[in-house]
Amino acid sequence: MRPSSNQTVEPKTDSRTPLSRWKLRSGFVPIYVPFLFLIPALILLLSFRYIPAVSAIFHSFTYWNIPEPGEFIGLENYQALFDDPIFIKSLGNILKYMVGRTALVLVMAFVGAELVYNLTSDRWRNIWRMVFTIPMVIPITVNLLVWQQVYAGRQGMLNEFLTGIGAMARPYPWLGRPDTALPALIFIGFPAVAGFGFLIILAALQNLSSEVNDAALIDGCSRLRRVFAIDLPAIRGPLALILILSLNQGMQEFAPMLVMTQGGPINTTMSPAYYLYIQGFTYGKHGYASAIGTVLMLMTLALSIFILRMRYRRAYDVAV
Amino acid sequence: MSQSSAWRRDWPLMLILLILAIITYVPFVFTVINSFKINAQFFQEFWLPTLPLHPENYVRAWPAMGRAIFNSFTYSIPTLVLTLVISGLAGYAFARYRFPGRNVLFVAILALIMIPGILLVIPMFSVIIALDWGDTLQGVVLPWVSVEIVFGTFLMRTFFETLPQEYFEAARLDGANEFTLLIRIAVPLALPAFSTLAILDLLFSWNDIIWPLVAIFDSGRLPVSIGVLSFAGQYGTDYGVTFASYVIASLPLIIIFAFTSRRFMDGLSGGLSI
Repeated sequence: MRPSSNQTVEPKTDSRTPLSRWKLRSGFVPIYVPFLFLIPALILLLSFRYIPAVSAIFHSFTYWNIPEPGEFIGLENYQALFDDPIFIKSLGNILKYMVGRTALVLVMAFVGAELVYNLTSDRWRNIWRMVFTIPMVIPITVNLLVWQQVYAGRQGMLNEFLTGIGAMARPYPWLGRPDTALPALIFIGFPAVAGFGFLIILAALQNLSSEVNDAALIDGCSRLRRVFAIDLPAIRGPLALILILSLNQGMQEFAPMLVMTQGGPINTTMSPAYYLYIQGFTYGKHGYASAIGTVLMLMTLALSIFILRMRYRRAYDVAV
Repeated sequence: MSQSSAWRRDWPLMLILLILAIITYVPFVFTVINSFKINAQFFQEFWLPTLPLHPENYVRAWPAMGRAIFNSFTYSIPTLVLTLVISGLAGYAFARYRFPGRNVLFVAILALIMIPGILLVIPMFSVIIALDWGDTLQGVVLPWVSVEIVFGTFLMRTFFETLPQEYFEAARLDGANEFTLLIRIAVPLALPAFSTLAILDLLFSWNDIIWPLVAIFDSGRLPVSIGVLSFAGQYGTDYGVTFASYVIASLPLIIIFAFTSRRFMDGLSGGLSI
């Protein structure tokens, strides 16, 4: 081996006790090394995440039409915002959408993962895992356009199916009516097994120790009861992660509205994020749009902190 | 366990899975089948294939979609490379070193997950305008990378932490410097995690609508995610051609995934948690 002249050569005398190994690790690496590795990430995050975030909050107090500089107007944007019936409506819409969508995705991902996990055959387990992974790589826009075709009033799959089996006499424009448009968006991709959540939950289940499961079965615990008594508490961490990601994504949902409904009919599918986009990039009201974004961020933060607190209310984790 | 008793135990689960899979796939199979029909055939027979097949639908959809796919690759590949390198470096720093400010920095980075991307679109748009970066490669790529390295750092840290410390100590004893440790030991062992991140990154950059919509003005430079949308807007009444464009738009990622799926699954098998 090449002899190395720099400081990273280990002082061998230190490595006797387990405790000194820790000291050693931090001791012989020059302090700038980790920061050197972090510099590219920090520069990018600073320029395209942290500074824009501060800038957005600042500009929410201004009248701003890019490329003009913002003109400070105090809380006017916020006053206008909470008097804006479309924005208030969009808040209610997104709450329903977020809760409905997250419940659907979380439950179905868990059901799908448990079904696959409980299979005896390894080969089939891998096959089913693959079956429910492939739809993930279909572009979101394509998925939304295909589902637009599912819900379409004329030549729509759902209508053709329901009228075909005689469940409905006449086709129904699912996305075109105020009462069904938002639920239709929630059920995009039904049964919503295929997705990131499914993979994470399945991976978490497969990492559980089989001894606990075997012991439970020997003690007469049924498979169904094991799912709720052992599996569910043991994968709290991954579940909380999916919950946060899914709620955050739901809160900021934008693409289904843009592609499928443009917020209609009569604003029943208007979401705050899509409203922000319209205000900012159709009307050029960038200050007003920033205020929408700031409210959205505060709601997201509150929600995430609430979930994290729920998750860590009890300080220990089930060490399975 | 013998084959038959496994079947006896598994068949109810398999049946439910089969039903779920059929519902999942029906809309996509429908799209593929109908991409080979002309309108007259589509109005006559809704679900089943009809003869003759009309592959010329694909010929009509190809020029616009091919260009959009090419554009997507020109944005996605640089995004991918930068995301892997930067997340790998940052994740490694957090996983293997103890340094002042480590936890604060990590939490500060992770907290970015909670900031809505759409909020940042407006100030970033003003930056793009100020720098005159509209329609440029860096104007699309750098903001994307900044989104992706947040989760990427989290993923790579989780993975690097699972690597046994002994490997690194042995190499240090042999006189390897820190950079050599990263390149020669950590990176080869972390290939599964890198491929997971690569796929997730590709999915993100391939799917993002909002940033290209804001940062690209020239319609000839739009990526697939928007290209397929505007194509559907133009050809919406010609069902076969529109469906063919959906299929073309989906193929690149499906093909890439077919070759990398094993590594992708391996990378996630360690699990993610908070």
